[in-house]
Amino acid sequence: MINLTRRVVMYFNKLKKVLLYFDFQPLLFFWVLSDVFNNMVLWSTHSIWVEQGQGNTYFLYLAYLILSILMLLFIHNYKRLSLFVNLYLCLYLFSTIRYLLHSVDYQNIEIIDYKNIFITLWYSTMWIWIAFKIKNENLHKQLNNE
Amino acid sequence: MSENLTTIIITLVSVLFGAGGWKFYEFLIKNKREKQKEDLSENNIFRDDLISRVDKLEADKGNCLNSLLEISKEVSSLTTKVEFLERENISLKTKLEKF
Repeated sequence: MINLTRRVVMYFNKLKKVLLYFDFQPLLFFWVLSDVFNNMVLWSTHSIWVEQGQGNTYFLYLAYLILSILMLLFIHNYKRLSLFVNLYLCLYLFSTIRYLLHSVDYQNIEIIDYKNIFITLWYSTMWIWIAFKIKNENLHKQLNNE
Repeated sequence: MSENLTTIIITLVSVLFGAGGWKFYEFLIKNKREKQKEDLSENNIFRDDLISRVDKLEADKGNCLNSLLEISKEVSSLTTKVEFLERENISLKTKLEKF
C-alpha cells in the first residue's frame, strides 16, 4: 500500500515536471490540427446554422478556424503564437461564459450537464495554461536578452 | 442581444482581471531578476576584490622568498666565518700558551 502511494506521488511529481519543463509545441500542433479538422465551418454551411437560430455560432466557429490556422502557421514563432493563443483563449472564455450563462438549464440540471460543464472548464484551464506557458517563456527570453 | 452583451461584459472583465494578474506576475518576476542581478554584481565585486588581494599576497610571497634566500646565504657565509675565526682563536691561544 505504501509502495503504491509512493508510486502515485512519484507519478504526480513527474507529471508536474513534464507540465513545467517540457515543451508543448508538438502537442499543440496536433491538438490545433484536430481542432481544424473538427471545425464545423468545414462540415456545414451558414444557412444550416441560421435555420437552427444560431447564425452567430457559425461565425464563432469561423473565428476559431482562423485562429487555429494562424496558430499552425506561427507555431515556430513564440511572439506571434502567444498573440494567437491569447486571442483563442479570449474567444474560448467568451464561448464558455456564454455556455454557462445561457445554454445550461440550471432548473433541470442533469449528470450530462455536469459532465459538459466540467469538460468546458477543463478546456478553459488547458488554454489558460498554454497561454501562461508561452507568455512566461517570452518574458524569460526578454529578461535574458536585457 | 442583451444575452450577448452580458457575455461580452463578463468576458471583458475576465480578460482584464487576467491581464492585471499577468502584469502583477511580470512585475514580481522582473523584481526577482533585478535582485538576482544585484546579488550577482555584489558577488562579482567581492570576487574581484579577492582576486586582487590574492595577486598582491602572491607578489609579497615572492618577495619574501627572495629575502629569505638572501638571508640564508648571509647566514651560511657568517657561519663559515665564525667557524674559521674560532679555529684561528684556538690556534692563537695555543701559540700564546707555548710562549
